[in-house]
Order: sequence, then C-alpha cells, then structure tokens
Amino acid sequence: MGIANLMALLACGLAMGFGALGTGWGLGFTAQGAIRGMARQPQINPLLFRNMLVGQAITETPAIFSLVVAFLLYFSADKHLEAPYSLAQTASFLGAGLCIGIGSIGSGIGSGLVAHHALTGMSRNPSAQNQIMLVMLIGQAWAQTGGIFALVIALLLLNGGGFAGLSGPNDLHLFSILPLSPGEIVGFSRYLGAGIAMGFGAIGSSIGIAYVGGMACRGLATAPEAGARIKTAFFVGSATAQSPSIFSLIIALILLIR
Amino acid sequence: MVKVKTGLAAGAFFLTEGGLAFASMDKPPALRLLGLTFNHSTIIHTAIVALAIYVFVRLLTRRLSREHPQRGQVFLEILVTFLSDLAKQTIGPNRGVRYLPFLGTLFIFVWGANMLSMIPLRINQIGGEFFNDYNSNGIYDPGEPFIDANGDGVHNPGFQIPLFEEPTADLSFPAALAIIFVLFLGHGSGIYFHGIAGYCKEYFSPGGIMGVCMFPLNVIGKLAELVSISFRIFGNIFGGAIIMTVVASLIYYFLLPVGMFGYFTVFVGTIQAFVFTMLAATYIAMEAGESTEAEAD
Amino acid sequence: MNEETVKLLIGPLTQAFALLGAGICMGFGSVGPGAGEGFAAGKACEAISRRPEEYAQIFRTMLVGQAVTESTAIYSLVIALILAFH
Repeated sequence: MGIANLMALLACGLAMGFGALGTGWGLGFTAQGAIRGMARQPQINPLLFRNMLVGQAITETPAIFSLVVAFLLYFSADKHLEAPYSLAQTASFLGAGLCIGIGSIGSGIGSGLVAHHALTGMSRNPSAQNQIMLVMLIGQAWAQTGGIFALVIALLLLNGGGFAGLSGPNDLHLFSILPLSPGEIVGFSRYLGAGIAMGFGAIGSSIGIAYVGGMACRGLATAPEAGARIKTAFFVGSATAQSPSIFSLIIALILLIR
Repeated sequence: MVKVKTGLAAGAFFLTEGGLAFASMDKPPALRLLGLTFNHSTIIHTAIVALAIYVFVRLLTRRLSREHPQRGQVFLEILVTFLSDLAKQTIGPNRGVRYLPFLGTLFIFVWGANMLSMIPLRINQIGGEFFNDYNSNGIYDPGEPFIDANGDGVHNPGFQIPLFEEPTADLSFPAALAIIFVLFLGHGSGIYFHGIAGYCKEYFSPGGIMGVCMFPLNVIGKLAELVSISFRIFGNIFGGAIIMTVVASLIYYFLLPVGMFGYFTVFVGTIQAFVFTMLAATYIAMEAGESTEAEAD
Repeated sequence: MNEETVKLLIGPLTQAFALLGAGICMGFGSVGPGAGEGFAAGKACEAISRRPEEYAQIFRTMLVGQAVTESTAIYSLVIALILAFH
C-alpha cells in the first residue's frame, strides 16, 4: 500500500461526498418548486409531479458522474501500481477526485435551480407548459456542461496518472518515504493544478447558466407571446456565460498535456 | 470451443468473503483496420438495435387504417406527433419539418440502444478464463486468475453477466452520433442556409478586433458541444450500468432490484435519449434555425 | 539539505509552483465571471418578458455587460497562460 493507493481512497470519498452535496441540494430545490406550485394550483398536480420527476432524473446526472469516478478510484486503490510512492500518481488521484467532486457542485445546484423556476413558472401559467418544458430541459443540460468537462478531465487524470513524473533525475531522495525528484514535483502540481482548475472552474458557469435558464422559464410564464425573443436572449446569454468554463478546460488541458 | 465475449465494459463486481471485489474485464480482441480499432461488441449490439427497431416498426405498421387504427399505429402516431412538435418548436415551424426524419431516427435509435439491456438473457461465466485469455492489447495471454477468492489458487466462483449491453455505454457510439448529427448535419445545414461566408462569420462572433481575439475560443466552443453531448449520455448510461451491476452482485441471492432497474434503465435511458435528441435539435437550430430577429422585430 | 540539492531543485520547484498557481488562478478566477454573466443574462430574460418591446435595448445592454464581466475571466486566462508557460 503506497501513498498513491491511500490517496485514491481519500479521493474516492472526496469525489462522491462533494458530488452528492450539490446534487442533493438541487434535487430538493426541484421538489420545493413542485410543492409550492401544487399549493398554488392544486388542479395541475399530475403535470407538476411528472415534470418534477423528469427534472430530478436530469439533476441526478452529476452524482452519477461522481459515482463512476469514485468507483474507478476505489478500484485503483486496490491495484498494484507501478509507482505506489509516486507524488505525481498521488496528485493525479487527488486531482481526479477534486475535479469531479467540486465540478459536480455547480452542476447539481444549477440543474435544480432551472427545474425549480420552471415548475414555479408552470404553476403560474400552465398553458405555456410546452415552451417552459423545452427551455427547462435545454437549460438543465447546458448547466451540466461544466460537470461534463470535469468528468472528461477526471477520466484523463485517471488514465494519464500512470505515466506521471518519470521525467527528470530520479535520484534525489530527500525523505525516506517519498522519492522526491524534480519530475515528480512538477508532475504533482501539474495534475493537482489541472484538477483544481477544472473543478472550481465548472462551478460559476453552471450556476450562471442555470440562472439564465430559470429566469427564461419564469419569463416564458409571464409573457409566452415573447417566447422567441426570450429564447434568443437565453441562447446567446448562456453561450457567453459558458466561456469561463471553457477557459478552465483549456488551462486544465494545457496543464495535463504540457 | 467458441467463446462469447460480451458484457459490461467496466468489468464485474463480486461479493467474496473478503468483501466487494472487482474484476477488470479485458477487452475482447479488437479488429484493427487501417489504423482504426473496431470494438466488435459495440458494432454487433448496434446492428442488433437497428434490426430490432426495423422488425418492430414493420410489425406495428402492418395494417394501417384510417378508420380503425390499431394500437401500434396509434402509438407510432403519438410518437411522430411528439417528435414533429419538438422539431417545430426547436428549429422553427417551416424548417423544422425537414429535420423530422433525422431527429425521429436519432431518438428511436438512441432509445432502442438504451433499452437493449432490458433483454433478460444472461451468460453464465464460470471461472477466470473469460477475463484473462486476452490482455488489453488483444493479444492471447493466459495470465494468472484475476481473483483468488478461496485462496486455493483457482478461479473465482461463477457469475452472470448480461448478454446484451447498451452500445451507449461505449463512448464511441454517442460520439459517432454527435459527429453525424451536430457536425455534419448541423454545420452542413448552417453552410447550406447561410452560405460559407455567413457560416464563417459566426466564428468571429462579436465582430471587430474582439472577434479576431475570440476566434480560437469560438472554435473550441463548437468542439465543446460535441464533447458535452456525447459524454452526457455516455456517463449516464455507463454509471447506471455500474450501479446495476454492483447492486445485482450485492443482492444476487435474494431478489432482482426491479425498481432500481426500472429507474436506471427505463426512466433515465428514456430521458437521456430525449435530451440527446433535443440538444442535437438545439445545436442544429443554432446553426440553421429560422431567424428569431426577423420574427421579433 | 546541501547547496547542490537546492540548486537542482529550485528550477523544478519554480515550475511546479507556477503550474499549480495557473490551475488555482483559472479555477477560482472563472467562478465569479461565470455566475456574473449568468445573472446578467437571467435578468435580461426576465426584463424581456416584462417589456418585450424594449428587446433590442435590453439585449444590447446584456451583451455589453457580459463582455465587461468576462474581462475578469480573460485576465485570469492571461495570467494562467503566462504561468503555465513560465
């Protein structure tokens, strides 16, 4: 059992713990929207219930991503790694866990936010439910894009970690337990940096896009006749709000590949 | 002796005396051609889905009648109405109808692919030879047994894996669909409707010097569409498959987790197929949609 | 730790801290702009639903506001790129 194996176990817990945090929040937020809507308009209960289930099924996605990475990390800890004392290998596990865990927070809360506002809007104006449903699904899916970038980076970290830190002279043993070579040091911060960049970078954009989607849903309930204009503002606004997470993806990829 | 090699890409989980164990399943020998690797399990399952959809739709449309519609006809009419509403709402009332055949095919195909593991046929796998005859490079390599549950140096106990797996749990399937529908169809119709100059203008979107600076970011943004749409459905279906395998191996001797199976396979599979179709329609609409500016002004 | 070791380690350590700094810079630097741009566009959607006839002006203001908000993310990107290629 090297330090990389131990870190894989810790990262497994981090991934699932943080991943469940945002998603649970979002799921509850969705249900809150449905319940408030039911109190306002009891006659459309079945509609709200059905749409709540659909919204929750999509909101659950970030938690499923976290679960996938958590399982992969858990079973990486069991493997006989080539370099169990490698700092870079350790950082690649920690980076993968942090990346998917923190990256899921924004996606989970964001998807729930969209569904909450959509259900509220449906209860205000049930006749606009088709338009609202469409914008809700697109908004939820776009709010999860940051989480998907985080999944990509986490899978790359898990795959690439095996080749980590083998460049540079390896003969400097400063501590007895860690072979602390220059290549290892650079590899450590490379992988940890990539995980942090993508993990935190996904939060802001996801919540921002979710706010756009939610407000678009409420706007459609207020003025269904202005649907085309609201949808244009929604598409353009969320495409622009996506760019910070794309910056993060670029930096994470540069750190990984370089 | 003919060996059938299929099952979940992730491998299999076992409940042993020592706790939950995992056997990483080596990939079956892949077909290599012109520098490309073909995963034959995915190809076979994709073909099975296509064939099954063809047979089903043939059966449902056998006796079409305007006066006395059969149940199958009513079902298909509801489906087509639903999809045509989706296309009209997303892409536009005039151009949307043109895309109905594409979007309908996409939805039915992805949905059928997600439902493939509903077929309750399982293979009994006894021992480790299933996993260890080939290594990950497809070379015959009879290694040591992957798990030594009893400590006697022999294979693990027998277990079951599904005969049919969802092709969507392999990334290449949704990635191929995304390339066909978003890249070829979406960007192709963008060029068709706006001309090459109008299409290229999108990449310098704010215009001016700022537009030149934003050009690489716009290109990456377009590529990110492909990544996000394909990884979304892959992660969901793959995660659901892992959850089902873990739960099924945990309570193997008691009962089948019908409710969880219904949720993760039927419900999530249907919703994700719908989301995939709708996002493809949205990306097509962003390239080729009817101008909302003209409508708004 | 003798002097030779320090001399050998100082280059990689500088690079390592630069890379970690690049990751932290871009990661935290994109939280604010992402959420801020979203709030701008969300309020724009709401405003359009209240007064659809003022669409053009609201839309223009939204785009300008988002561009200004995005400039902080671009600062982070520039610094992160400088650090990553240090």
